Amino acid sequence: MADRPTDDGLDPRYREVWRAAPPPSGFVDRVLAVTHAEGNVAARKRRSLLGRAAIALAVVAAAAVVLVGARPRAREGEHLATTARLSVSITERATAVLEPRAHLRWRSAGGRVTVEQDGGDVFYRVDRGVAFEVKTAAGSVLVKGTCFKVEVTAMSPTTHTLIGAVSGMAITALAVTVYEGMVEVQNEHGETRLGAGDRGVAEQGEAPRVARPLSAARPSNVPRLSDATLAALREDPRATIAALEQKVASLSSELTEARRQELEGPRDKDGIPKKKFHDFTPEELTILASRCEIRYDIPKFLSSGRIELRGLGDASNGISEAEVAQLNRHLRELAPPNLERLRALYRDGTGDHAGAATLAPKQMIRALFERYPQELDRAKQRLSLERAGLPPPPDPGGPSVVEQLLRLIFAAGDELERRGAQVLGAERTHELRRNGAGYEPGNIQSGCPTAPASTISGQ
Amino acid sequence: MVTPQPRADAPRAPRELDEITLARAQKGERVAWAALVAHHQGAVFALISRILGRRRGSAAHQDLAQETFLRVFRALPTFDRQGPARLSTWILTIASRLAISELRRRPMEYLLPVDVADPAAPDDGGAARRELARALEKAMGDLAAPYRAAFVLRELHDLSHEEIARALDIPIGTVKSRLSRARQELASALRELEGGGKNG
Repeated sequence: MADRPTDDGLDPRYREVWRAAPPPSGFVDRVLAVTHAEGNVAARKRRSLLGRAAIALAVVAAAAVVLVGARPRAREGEHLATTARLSVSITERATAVLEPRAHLRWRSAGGRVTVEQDGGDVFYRVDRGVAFEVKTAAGSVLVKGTCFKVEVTAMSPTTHTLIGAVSGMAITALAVTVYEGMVEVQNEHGETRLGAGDRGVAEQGEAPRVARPLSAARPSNVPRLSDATLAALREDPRATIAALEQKVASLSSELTEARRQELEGPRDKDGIPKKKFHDFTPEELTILASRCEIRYDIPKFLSSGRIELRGLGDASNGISEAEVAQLNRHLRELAPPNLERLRALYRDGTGDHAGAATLAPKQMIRALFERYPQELDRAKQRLSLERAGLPPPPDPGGPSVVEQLLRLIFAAGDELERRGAQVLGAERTHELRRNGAGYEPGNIQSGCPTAPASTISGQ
Repeated sequence: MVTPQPRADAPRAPRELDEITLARAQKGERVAWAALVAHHQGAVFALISRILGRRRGSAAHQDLAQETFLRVFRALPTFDRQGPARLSTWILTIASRLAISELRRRPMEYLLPVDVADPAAPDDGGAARRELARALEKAMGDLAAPYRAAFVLRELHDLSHEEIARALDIPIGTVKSRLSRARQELASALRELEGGGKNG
């Protein structure tokens, strides 16, 4: 026996008892199924997600909405805001399903119902013949007439409805999806009519337009509830309703994601939105890693050096002056040490002590990038691989000044968001960041090192 | 790159997948991809189960192994066949990182991947084998996940120091110190075992 195991080999007795668990039979098939599905989904997802989700959402939401009898009634003029899905009746003849973070109020005059939707996603069902209008900052949606039939055996009489969904996105854009009937979207720049299966988009400052049609959502293609679902409804309506509502939530989430993708604008040759800087999918991160590409924003205090937030506390952002004051307190704590660290990196990287004391942060950042192009390439490679969850290349010399700089920017950005979330909540803060509030967005660094040893496959 | 030193009792490193199959898998050919998974699944399961131990259960091993191959699938088109890394090492790197991450997320008592007291296990030594297993479990259980991973990669999967350093993203010196620490723990466990045997 080797009393002291050495690098010449593990004591054979240990090896004997340290046997490994073998792969289960069928594991290869399991992996194939997963990767095949992923490959297909990646290719198909963008094409069909919107249509499929819309169809399913229409049917399931309609069923759930019709079935849920004890729906709270929204009072006229009441401001509705919710952090969870909320179904409310608006008059006797219309229903709204508010998604988390949607808010609206409504009023009725002369037989006409007017809803003011400030933000978020809302699904509407309106009985035929009701004069109904949804107003948003980006335009109005007017119901023009409808005929949509929902059949739920023995549970509800046949109902003629309009079913549509309105999303007020970040106040600057309005997206309307019509599942049945007809609506008109209008603002001061123009108007457009949308029929069943159509989707329209209105952005502030632009006339409404028809977006990609939901061709699969034509009435003839709208799937019916299955016999099994109907049977289950008869057996245990509550459980089935709960399941349906859960499904609605899931599908609604998919639909929201599909809308978001649609509004993200043009894509590059690999299918990544050109203006996307946050919330990348694992597939997108892998593609970015293959290009050694990093996309990031820079907290404004590390760009312009401006520490105070300005212009956030207005109605369009929904942030109060008190919240701005709290955010500014965080910024005053966060900015100085990060700025000092940036100046130290600049001093170390350039030896320019005078510049470190006088240059604006963005000038120092640019100077370091320009001075160390190879280090920048290696940092891009390393960081993009890390973000994709892939092994980065070896780094015997430790992080370069450029890599330290990028890590400083990323960490400061994330810390700013974390602190913002303490004031505004995580979702609001993240949305503000995505909209560039407090950050300078739009930074893209792309391109791999030329040295063979640093290629991606070399880890 | 440091070439692993051949050792009489060491397991042979798995033969690498042939170039043509690898190239086809990179192009997305399903049959080639299946061949790649079949070729490397044994090593991936062995590594994961040896790092995580039996307590996690085979479902956890399967999930991590699947996640490993999913990541390989996503990144395979970018793998440089002429690069310094072997495909097997690259795959084990991904697997070991996932396993370490899992251990850090949910620490748990370490048990050998295969229960040597299991009636289904071949009985060729009975009590002695169980004692040895307990000693090994104790020694490995006392090691932090990255130490255990380095040791498993070196001793049971035959990776070189440099490959381990790359896999775990640590300097070579750290690899050596971790291996040394693991060996000391094992030696100590063996001594205790043998001392106990003599005394008893």
